[in-house]
This record gives sequence, C-alpha cells and structure tokens, in this order.
Amino acid sequence: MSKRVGRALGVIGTALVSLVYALLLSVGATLWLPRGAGGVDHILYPVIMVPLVWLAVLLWLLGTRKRGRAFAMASLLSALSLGAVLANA
Amino acid sequence: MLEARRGTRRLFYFIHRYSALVLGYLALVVFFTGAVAVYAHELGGWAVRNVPEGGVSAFAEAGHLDRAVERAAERIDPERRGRIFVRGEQEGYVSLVVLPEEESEQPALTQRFAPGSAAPTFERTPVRSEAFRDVPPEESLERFLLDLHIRLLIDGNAGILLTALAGFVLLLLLATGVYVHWPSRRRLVSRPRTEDGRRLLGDVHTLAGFWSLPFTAVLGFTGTFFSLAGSVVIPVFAFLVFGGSAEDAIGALQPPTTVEARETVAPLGRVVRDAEVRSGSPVTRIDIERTEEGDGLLVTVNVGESGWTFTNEQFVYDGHDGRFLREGGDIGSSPSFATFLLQLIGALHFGTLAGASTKLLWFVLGLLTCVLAGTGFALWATRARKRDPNRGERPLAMVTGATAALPLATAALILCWAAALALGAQARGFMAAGFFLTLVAGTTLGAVKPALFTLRFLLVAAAAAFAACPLAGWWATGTAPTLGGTTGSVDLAFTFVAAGLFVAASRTRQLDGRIAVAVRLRRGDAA
Repeated sequence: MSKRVGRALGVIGTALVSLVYALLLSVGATLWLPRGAGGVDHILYPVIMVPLVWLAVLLWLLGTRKRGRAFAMASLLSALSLGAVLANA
Repeated sequence: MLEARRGTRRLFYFIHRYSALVLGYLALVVFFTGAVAVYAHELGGWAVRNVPEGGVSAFAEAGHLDRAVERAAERIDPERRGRIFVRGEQEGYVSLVVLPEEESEQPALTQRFAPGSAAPTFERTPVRSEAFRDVPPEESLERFLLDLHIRLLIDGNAGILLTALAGFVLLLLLATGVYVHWPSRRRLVSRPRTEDGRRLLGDVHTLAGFWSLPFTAVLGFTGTFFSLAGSVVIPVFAFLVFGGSAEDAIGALQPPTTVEARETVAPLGRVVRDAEVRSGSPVTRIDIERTEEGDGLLVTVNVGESGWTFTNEQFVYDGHDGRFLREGGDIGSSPSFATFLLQLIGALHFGTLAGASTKLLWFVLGLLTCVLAGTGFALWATRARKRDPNRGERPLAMVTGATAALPLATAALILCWAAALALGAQARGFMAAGFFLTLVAGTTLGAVKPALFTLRFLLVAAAAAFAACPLAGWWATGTAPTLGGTTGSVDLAFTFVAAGLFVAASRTRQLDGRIAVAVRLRRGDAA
C-alpha cells in the first residue's frame, strides 16, 4: 500500500470515527441542555449542531500533535456520554 | 513545533486536494442544482402556465375546501386513514393528499384542483412513500429539480446520504482551504493577476473562496444538517434515547395537545379565515391529523411561508369545532430560540430570508461556489500538466468540459421536459437522460478537443439551448410566451441567461494566450 493510499484511508477512518463521536456526544447533550420554553430545545440543539461537532472533532483529531491522546480523550467523553444516556433510558 | 505545524499543513493540503478530487464533482453537481433550485418554484410556475389567482384561500372562500377534503377522506378506510395535507401549489393550484396509516398497505390519494375548479383535475392513488412525488407531468419540472438537488434522483436514504457527504465535504474543504490558502491582506484587495492563466486561476480561486466564505459555510452547514438529520441523526437519537422508536422520538418534539373526541368536523373555510385574520398573510398549507388518543382532530395552518419576508407562522385548531388552540407549529409547545433557529436554517438554506432579493443573491453566490469548484479543478489540471508534460491538455480540457456542461445540462433537462410533455412521454426519465448524458457529452468533448474550444462550444450551446426554452415551453403547453406574470418573467430570465452565456463565450478569446502560458501549450503541441 502506497503512503498516499494509507494516509487517505487514515483520513476516511478518522472521519467515520469522528462522526460516531459527534453523534454520541450530541445524544449525551440531550441530558444536560435546558429544555427551553418549548420543552424541546434539549433535543433540537444537539440535532442541529451534529455537523459542526463532527467537523470540530475531525479537525481536532487530524490537526493535533498528540493524536493518541486526542483519540483517547474523545473516546472517553463519548463513552461517558453513551453511559449516561443508557443509564437514563 | 514548526515541523509539527508543517506536518498539519501538509495533511490539510492533502485532504483539501484529494477530497475535492474524489468527491468534488458530486458536490459541484449538488451546488449547481442547488443554485438552480432556488428558482425551482418559479420554473414550476412557468411550466404550469396558469392564471396567478386562487390558492388555498380562494379554494376555501368558494366553499370547495370542505367538500373536497370530505370526499377525499371518504375514499380511505377511516380505520386506516392517516394525515390529510392541503397545499397551495404554483399559480393557484391546490393539492390534496390523504395518507393511509404508516403500517397500512392501502394506497394514498393525491389530487390537484385548478383555480376555481371544485372537481380534481388530476388524481392518482400511489403507494404511501410516493404520495408527494407522483405529480402531474407539467409539475414534474419543479419536483425533478428538487429531487436532483436533494437526493440526486436516488431513492431511499442513499441519495440523501450522498448529498450529506457533499455538504460535509464543502465544510471540510472550507476549513482546510482557510488553513492552507489564507490570503495575505495585499492579495485580498488587489485584482487577480492576469498575466498567466495559472496565477489567474489561483487568484480567482482564493478570492472567490475568501469572499464567499460566510455563504458557503452557511450553505455547507445547513445542507449537511438537512440531509443528515432525517437519515442519520434522528434514527440514532431514536435508537439510543427512545428505545428505537422513531415515532416516540418525533412525539417528544411535538407538543401534547388534548382534544376531545367528537363526531363533528370543523368547517375548514372558517379556520382558514381565522388564521388569515390572525396573521395578515394568506394560508399556504393545512395539515389535518388525529391525536394519539385516536379521534381527536387537530388542524395546523401555515401562513406566509413563501412571502417576500421571512415569516412562517403556524396556528393549531381543534378539528371538531374550529376552536383556536395555540400559536406555534408541530415542534415544541411554544416558540423558543431553538425552533426559531430551525426556521432560520430553512430560510438560510433556501434563500428566502428576505424574499426575492435574497433569492437572487443566493443564486449568484451559489454560482460563485461553483466557480470555486471549477477553478479548483482547473488548478489541479494545470499542475498535473506541469509535473508531467506528456499528459497534454487533456485533464484541463476534461475538467473544463465536465464543469462547463452544467448550464447546458440544465437547459437540456428543461428542453427534455418540454419534449416529454409534448410527446406524452415519461418526463422524469427524459429529464434524467437529458441532464446526465449532457454532462457525459461535455466531459467526452474535453477528452478529444482543447480546453478553450470545449469551454466556448459548451457556453454557446448552453446559450442557444436557453434561448430555445421559451419556445419549448410554448410547444409543450400550447400557451404562447407572454410579457407578464411568472411565465413572462421566467422567459425573460431565460433570454438574459442566454445573452450572458453568449457574452461569456465571446470573452473566452481573451483567455487564449493566458491559458496557453499556464499550461505551456498551444493547440496541437501536446505531442
């Protein structure tokens, strides 16, 4: 496998993983965001923000010098978020 | 530190280049059709060619609305009946859709009423999922343009996921492009350097990217949101938070409204009048649904949805006696910043923020995003030639052909719609063939002819095709072009676009020397 193909696969993998992180973090946000006047803000804000969270996580994972630590931190936060959601379900 | 920053820059440059090369053309088709789709409703009005009077208000005023809903509702088994929708369509037409329940295999009912007509002028009984897509042939132009932009004509989630990917790639290209190509202050205020083609392309790419940055960022974000929300985000939320039930997830967004079950049904005409008095705008949409308890009826009325300003008010009524219940839509028990944000995202994506003026601005800025993609492709092609002189001009000519074929493909689909209508053929298939075959033909032309010839030929052909559109509309509908109304305005717009394309084609001569310097070739020197 050439270096270029390896790098491309790495970027695609990171993009997919960061989408999963973004979804889990957003789902978790429904627990701590205020419900607002309409009683739905805690669901709407995370749903609306998913594309931006995805982009932010992806750029963070790709741009950081300590990539391993960034992946570990994102995984921990996502796991905590998922755990909180499952505990409340 | 410096080395790490260089590494990040190299990685972001790699992502910018290869995500554009692999997915850029898909994204370009979505951007271009999106720019055209800003005027899909007007093009739909041009295709229908009717008197611009009527709509839901006139339909209700004439007393047709209650009878039409009653008769249509009777056609579906009451035990299995779902929502009923009444919509104001182009040029005063009214559409009525009665859906069966979600699990029911019973077909839906779709009807169209011409202005002033109490009897349906079009009727179909499609399957539930096709209820909003099975439209009369003359309305298929607008539906096709929207389907092309929203789902690239691919049914199910696959098409929507592809457009979501296009939107996300736009966001990624912007973020990496800002990091890699951030221009100096001097470059931003100076004109593009015209002494050679590659510098010209680079400057136009950077300047177009910088000045359209807020617009493209908003468009990429809102587009990704619209595509991802229904296909990925809501199902994931439903799975994790609501035990896998999408109905519960959507139910959590809807406000609880208790309506007593009764035999009577409210007169819709009175409901429409009340909503118009409350809002001061005409009614564009009515949704009639049962509450979760079973027999409680709710009527939601939308007003001012497609007005000149950004207004979209919703009123909810008791469907049994027409009693006004509350203001606000089917999301949230009362308006909040999040529901406003949701409406704002819609207005920002569709260009209806301030009516007709922002629609024109969105159209122009949408085309600027396409210029960004086109110059990016051309830059890659000129660099590919610089690295490997044996490649000749072919990559540049092919990307020029693929990009410059888009206006011609748009005109071709309009001409194919007209031909299908006149010949009684299936319009959707004709339009799809016209659009995609033109793109293939443009790219093929680039493979065999030089870039400038390809560009000039495609621009002239697109100009001729747009100039023929008013006549094609006349041929298809049997109604001669007029100077007034939607038909006249769209015919005039076709003429302006044709003239603009002719002028652009004539000015490509000025590029001749500069492109030649850029790729160091004249016609025939590829050998």
